[in-house]
Amino acid sequence: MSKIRARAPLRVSYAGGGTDVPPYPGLKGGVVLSSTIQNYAYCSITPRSDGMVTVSREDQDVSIGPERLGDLKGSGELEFVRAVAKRFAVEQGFDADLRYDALPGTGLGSSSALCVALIGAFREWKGTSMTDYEIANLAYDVERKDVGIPGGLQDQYASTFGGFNLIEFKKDSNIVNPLRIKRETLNELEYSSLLCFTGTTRRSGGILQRQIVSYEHKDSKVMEALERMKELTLEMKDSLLTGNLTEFAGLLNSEWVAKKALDSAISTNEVDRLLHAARESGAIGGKLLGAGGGGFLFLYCEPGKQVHVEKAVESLGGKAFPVRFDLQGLQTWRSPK
Amino acid sequence: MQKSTRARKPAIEDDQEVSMARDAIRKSIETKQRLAEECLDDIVQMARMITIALRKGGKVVFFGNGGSAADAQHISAELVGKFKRARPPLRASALTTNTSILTAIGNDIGFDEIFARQIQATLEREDVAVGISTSGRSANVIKGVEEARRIGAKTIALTGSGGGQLGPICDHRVIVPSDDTQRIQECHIMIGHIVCELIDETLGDRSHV
Repeated sequence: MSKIRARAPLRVSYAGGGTDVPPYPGLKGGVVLSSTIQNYAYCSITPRSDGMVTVSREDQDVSIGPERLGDLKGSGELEFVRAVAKRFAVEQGFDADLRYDALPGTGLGSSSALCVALIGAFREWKGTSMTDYEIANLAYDVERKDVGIPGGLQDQYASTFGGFNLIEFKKDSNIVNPLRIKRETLNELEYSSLLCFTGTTRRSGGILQRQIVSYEHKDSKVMEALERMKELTLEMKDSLLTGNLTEFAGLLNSEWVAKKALDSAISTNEVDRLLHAARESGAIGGKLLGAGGGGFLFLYCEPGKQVHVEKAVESLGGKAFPVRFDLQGLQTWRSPK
Repeated sequence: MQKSTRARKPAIEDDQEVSMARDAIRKSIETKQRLAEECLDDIVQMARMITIALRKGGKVVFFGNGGSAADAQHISAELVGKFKRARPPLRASALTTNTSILTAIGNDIGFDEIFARQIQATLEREDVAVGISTSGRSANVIKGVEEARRIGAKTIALTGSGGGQLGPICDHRVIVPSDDTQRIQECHIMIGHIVCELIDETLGDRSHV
């Protein structure tokens, strides 16, 4: 039987991360700027005729089952599979093979991307007609409500739609504004940027829980920082549309300063040192991606300085990767027999 | 000794005041420690750039807002006046002192232009412009630097907060590794003193020591 495959891209969040975390969007309205990159979460579904289900992680050589869907025990990805299968009212058996290019906890939105990939695969299998908005909304509901992982709204939209987007979060609706950025600007951004793995993954749960409490209490320092982040997000969008990447780099620095004010655990000494070393060696803009505590840095380097920056972060235990943008978002297909 | 008749403010206890003061000093030391570990080359390079400009007959101008305006004036005073060694006065100035100019530009054109317009009036290619902003976000400092670049002068950012938007647009930057305005400013004036000392060392007259 042919396999149904889906891949959903990971994302780099340039600005506004945190303004998408409820209850803030409902209170004040949130906005984020992000793009997807050519690193993915993958899901392959192979229908089975015996009514049983297996779930495996291709990247870890782990496999669970075969069991009845309801009898599968375990947490993490397994909960996503169970929740999505339930949402699609799947009664047939299947093998679900999952894979990440970057693990959850690294600030690239991989757990949401996996959720989007799962929905994409099931939608393709069942022939369900869904818009991108419906897919993203469902991914949000699965991850945040069915499975109960705290977090924001942006990752599901970024991964589903793909490309560069300014995403607005309002009380009753979330709107994805795709940005038409000149190819030369994108080329230059890819040419000048690096992703740097700090060597640590984090659990964003604690940071996010505290953030949510300070949103509920309308903590003035946090509210001010969020307002600042929204201003910076719009300025950064303008800098991309006008192709002013030096300004874009500077806005990354300011965004990171505002972001750190949301919670004291967002930055760590290790992150600080890596960012500073990167700056000393030619990165003129940089910030940590995701909710904080570890994961990946995004760095914008002066032309010709990437190699210096790479060496500087690697001497401190970081690992540098090139950035390549994905402009397609969620893709699904059937493997040739 | 007579006891004070004024009621003491109950909110802050003695030991709390002491610990707040100690905490501020500790954080200032930590920031300076990191500066010593991570930014020495940048400070030396800043002094070199200014020295080279002064030697070639150029001048250096400093500008910033609030405490950074005070720093601009303080550092330029050290260079025009006497620092450690006897030497001729150096061509340095702060763009924050002429209240007629500042209020005229601020009132008639806009506060964001107060430095840029002075730079347009006085800067030349061989000069150095030092923009001081702890956040790297001050619009008038950014515009000042942009104007200096248009003229072709060298630009230096004295900043913190990762450099903000000021850092990337300058030829050279000294970024204090902190986001805390007070701690950054404490480092800025120290950096100013170090730069003056290094310039003195190069341009000073050793026979007068």
